[in-house]
Amino acid sequence: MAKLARHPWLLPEGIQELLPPYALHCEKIRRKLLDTYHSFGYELVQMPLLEQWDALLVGCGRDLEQETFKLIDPATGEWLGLPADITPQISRLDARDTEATGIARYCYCSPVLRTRLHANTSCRNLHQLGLELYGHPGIESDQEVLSLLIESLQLSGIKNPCIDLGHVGIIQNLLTACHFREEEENTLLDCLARKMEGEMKSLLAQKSIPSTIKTLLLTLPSALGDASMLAKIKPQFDNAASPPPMRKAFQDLHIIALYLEKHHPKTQVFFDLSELRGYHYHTGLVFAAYVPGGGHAIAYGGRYDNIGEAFGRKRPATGFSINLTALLEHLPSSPIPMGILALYSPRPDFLQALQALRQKGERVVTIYNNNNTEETDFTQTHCDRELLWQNGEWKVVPSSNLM
Amino acid sequence: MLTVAIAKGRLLSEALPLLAKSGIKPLLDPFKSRKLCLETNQPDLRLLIVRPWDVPTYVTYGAANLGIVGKDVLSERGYENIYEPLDLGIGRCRLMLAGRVPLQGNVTRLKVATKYVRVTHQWFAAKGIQADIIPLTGSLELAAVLGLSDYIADLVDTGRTLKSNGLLPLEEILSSTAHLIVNKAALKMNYSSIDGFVQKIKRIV
Repeated sequence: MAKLARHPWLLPEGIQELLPPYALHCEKIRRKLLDTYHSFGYELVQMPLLEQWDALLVGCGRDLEQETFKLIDPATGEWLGLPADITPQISRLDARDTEATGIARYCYCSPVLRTRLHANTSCRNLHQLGLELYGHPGIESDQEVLSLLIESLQLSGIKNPCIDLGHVGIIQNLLTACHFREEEENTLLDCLARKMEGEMKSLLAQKSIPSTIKTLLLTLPSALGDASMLAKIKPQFDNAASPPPMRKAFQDLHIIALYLEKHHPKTQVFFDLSELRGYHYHTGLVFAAYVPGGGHAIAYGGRYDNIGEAFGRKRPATGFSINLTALLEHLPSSPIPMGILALYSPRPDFLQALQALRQKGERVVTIYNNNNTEETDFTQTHCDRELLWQNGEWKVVPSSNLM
Repeated sequence: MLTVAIAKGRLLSEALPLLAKSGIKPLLDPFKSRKLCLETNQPDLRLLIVRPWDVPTYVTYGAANLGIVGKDVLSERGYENIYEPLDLGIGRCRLMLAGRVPLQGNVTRLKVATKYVRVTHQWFAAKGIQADIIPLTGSLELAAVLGLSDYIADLVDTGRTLKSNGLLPLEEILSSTAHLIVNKAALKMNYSSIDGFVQKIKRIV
């Protein structure tokens, strides 16, 4: 057999495996969060690992096209893709059931693959856990989803997360009022995304647009801070001279700020009016969750009302996804609970004794006497007690030999 | 604690007076000390002295909260996860196209040697000229002199090196100054201290 040119245990660049104790920790968080979503009426769905290539880009084409792995189906010659994000799959699911009306809630935990390694994802195979709410256009559903994101972070053990909030409707409506050519708009969006205030000033100085719009646009890069910042700029954005849809977007953001202040007073909330992440598919509130000491967000979310349109069913939608792999990096490692070591015995009641302990929630590891194999490394078993037959009964005794 | 990464070399010597004007001074002389992480007279601020091309990497990954680096580096690498709120106006330089003869209007395909592969490629693409870029990291003039390339794209200060190798500065590809860059997450998590630093610098540029 030909020898591999590389070490056989090396993984492709940016591909991670979850090993003990992290895999168990990840699984415990997954169970806890999905159970919480279930208690709010979110239906668990498991999406396929392979789909039609174009179906995976629906609604977020520009952002996802280069991120999605593409392959040819040998059976049909069609292009297939491996999901880089679960949202397009959920929108397909929601659009398919045209009979169902009203609110639909979905939650999921699935692996996704990205073609490129980014500073803000740290690997190319992410474990994405999230939820989506379809069929309600109002901010009440945004509030539900935001509350669930905050609760998810708390349940996972993240201390002092920061929720970053913006509203793409503010920028979209200001730009609509400018009537820029596509190229001009892209240049301005690029400056805005990088908060290049000076460059924006010189760019807008050459344009003949209403002065109120110009002033509002120039306010955006520095419109950053907590709820007091929103209150400070409110008279400027929320007045009769502002374009009505932009004003409505600002008002919605302000209502969200008041909601968070009331219901999550201990959560750090940051507002950023020039946040442009997902600008081309988000339609309203956008948010992200940051962790102290982390260089990038661990969860993203927002409203995307147009996403189901390509599947023939345009429905309002809001939701979020957490990058479980990134979240784990910010948690102290969770030790595996210590168990009981049991040397295999031919006694007829041995297996019942093990079963009784396991039913009590104990972790019982059986070892076998083996004359011809390597010696057991007891440190790998994570046991601090032993099951012994003493004075006519099975007893669990502390073991000084095992740690 | 705020960590500011600064590109070593000429940019550092221009950035230090700027920081000094806003009351920030390293406790050790960065040109004499071998320490790469320098405490300052501000207890909550330290400086990282790194290579220019590494500044955005430290900031992108969040190892440094802020950075001072040339627009040439930012344009070439196209970093994500950072904001560029302030043009500091220092470290001024120009990326120039240079060669033995001016660029002809009817040219169809060229070989150009440069360290700035992406920026140069985009510049020629915008002009509709097919350019094969040859990546080199130093002594670019040699590439044109030895015929490895038709032109070079390099940072030019006085133009003396070009002249002594028989090359002419032809067209400006990029005009660059140093920018203050900020990690996105850091801005959101430590807004008051980062904004405080940005405003302090903004007042003097």
